[in-house]
Amino acid sequence: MADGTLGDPGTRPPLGSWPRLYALVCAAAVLVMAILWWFTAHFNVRMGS
Amino acid sequence: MRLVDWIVFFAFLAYVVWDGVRRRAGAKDLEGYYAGGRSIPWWAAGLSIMATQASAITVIGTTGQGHEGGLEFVQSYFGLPFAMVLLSIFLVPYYRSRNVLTPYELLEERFGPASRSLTSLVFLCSRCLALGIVIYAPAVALSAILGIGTTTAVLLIGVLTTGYTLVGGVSAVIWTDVKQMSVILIGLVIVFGMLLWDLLPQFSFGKMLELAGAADKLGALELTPAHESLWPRSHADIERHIGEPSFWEEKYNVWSGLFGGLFLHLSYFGCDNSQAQRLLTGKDAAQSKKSLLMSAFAKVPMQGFVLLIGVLMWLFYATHGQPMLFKPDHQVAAEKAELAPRVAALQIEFDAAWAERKASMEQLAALDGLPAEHPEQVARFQRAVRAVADVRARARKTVAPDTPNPKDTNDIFCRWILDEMPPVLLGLIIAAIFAAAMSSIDSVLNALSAATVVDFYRRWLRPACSEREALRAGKVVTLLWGATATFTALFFAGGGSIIERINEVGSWFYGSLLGIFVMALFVRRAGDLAGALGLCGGMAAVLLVHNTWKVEFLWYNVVGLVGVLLVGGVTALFVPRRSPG
Repeated sequence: MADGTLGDPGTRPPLGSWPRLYALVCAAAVLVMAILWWFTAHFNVRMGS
Repeated sequence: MRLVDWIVFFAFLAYVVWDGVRRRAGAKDLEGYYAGGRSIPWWAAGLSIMATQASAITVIGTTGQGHEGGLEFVQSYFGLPFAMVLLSIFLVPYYRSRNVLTPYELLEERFGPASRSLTSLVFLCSRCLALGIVIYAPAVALSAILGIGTTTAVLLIGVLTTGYTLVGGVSAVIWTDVKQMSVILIGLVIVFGMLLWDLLPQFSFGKMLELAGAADKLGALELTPAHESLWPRSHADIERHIGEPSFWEEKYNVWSGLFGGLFLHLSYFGCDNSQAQRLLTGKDAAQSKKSLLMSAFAKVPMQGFVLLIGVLMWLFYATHGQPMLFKPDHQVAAEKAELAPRVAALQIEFDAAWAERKASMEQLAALDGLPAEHPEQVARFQRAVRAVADVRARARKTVAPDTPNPKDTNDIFCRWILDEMPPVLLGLIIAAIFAAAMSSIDSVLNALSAATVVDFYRRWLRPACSEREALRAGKVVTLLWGATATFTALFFAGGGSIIERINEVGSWFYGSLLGIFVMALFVRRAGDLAGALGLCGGMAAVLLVHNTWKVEFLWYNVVGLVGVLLVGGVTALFVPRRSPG
């Protein structure tokens, strides 16, 4: 399928390639979730427990 | 509201309307009206994607959710970044492979006219319902602040937004969204700063988190579900009190957020024209991908931030005192002579419960170490937290006996800004609420108009119509959808959390919408009949599950997708796609 990105230097993917950018998005999402998990484990006390 | 707040508020409204109307120059044909001439930069489309999702609901409803339920709601967004990546890989190149004005056009090429029309119709019906709720949310704020009726407020919002969307098309929508998103972010940062400014002299930031955590407000990611049974309970069993609550009944946990949320966001950003239309406005697929991935980075932290504002608001009220009833309608009802004695008795009970909550909170704050190290004090504090919530629930039920589960989640933020914001800033925050509302409504109006004109008017009614006639029809249809949505909003003037209701309405249809696009991409054998029957099968599956078992709405997205693939797949086995030749 036409991607429309080939041969157009103005629309090159950030970080040089799309897979690298996708990996960064996933890694950032996992990092945010890990921080939230720590946040919960450290501070939260479930109601009634 | 003071005069200066009115000036700030109306100045912003006037600016937005002017900014939208001046984009009319680019809306000379359908390509300009519905796709912005394919010249919108990725960052503007990205901000528009975020602004469209961040409706007034994000400001009013999510802070209310944070106040009532803490951070748990953020879990429903965990699937979003992964959904954006999958959409960038699979759907964006597909959409940008043709010069279409709605994604549903592609379904005709792949399946046939029935699948395209049915999918577009499902989008029109589901979005019209949800749009009514989106207009209603800021109307609540406006009516509370200005002391006018909700009906008047709904009409004001509906007319203004319909006006500039009608004239300027999608360019007006996107460029006003950019300004609106900026005002929303500024407004939220100001509220966060003011809450910290007030609370920091009393507690360190760490102590604030400890106290909120002790009240179970910081459950942002719970790996262990509260209910372990995997067998869903039927509604009949629940009525007869048979069986234990199941995993599927938990509204928000990390699993429903990751899997249900993944499918919800895949469908919302990829198959709902109000968002998918953004993917058609950039000059190429790379621009579209970048605008999607911008949201992937920003959305979860932003949602957590907004919920944290709600949590800090809870702490503010736990420290300074709070009204027993937040909703203006409830407060008016409480003053009725026949209810006054019962409300007065509840108020005494509430004051005692609130005082106990404050005393136990101060006791906990004075202790060294984490609250979890002091189980007795935490137990006392949590009893007090529950007692306050319990009296508030009974008070709401007393003043609104005819409402099944009366809530005031959406009134907490409004109450706080009215009581606490200084001049000028109050006007700005009200403007932010309006900005949030308009940015969602305008996108949906333009998307509804696009689907109606491109998928029905120009496809079935007037296939030979000129570009000029189609554009004129687009503007008339925008006006009609604006009017329909405005009047639909008047029927949603009930209680409950608005943001949940939006997602619930969407979840009835989203899994099925996603399912047909998944079939288009991956089930090569499926033809028009398989597409149309699959779509119906997906929605029937959601209806069946909804009426049979107690399952939370995020899972409906998975149910709808599986229903489409099963019914469509079986149909394709018996009636395969005809070869194009």
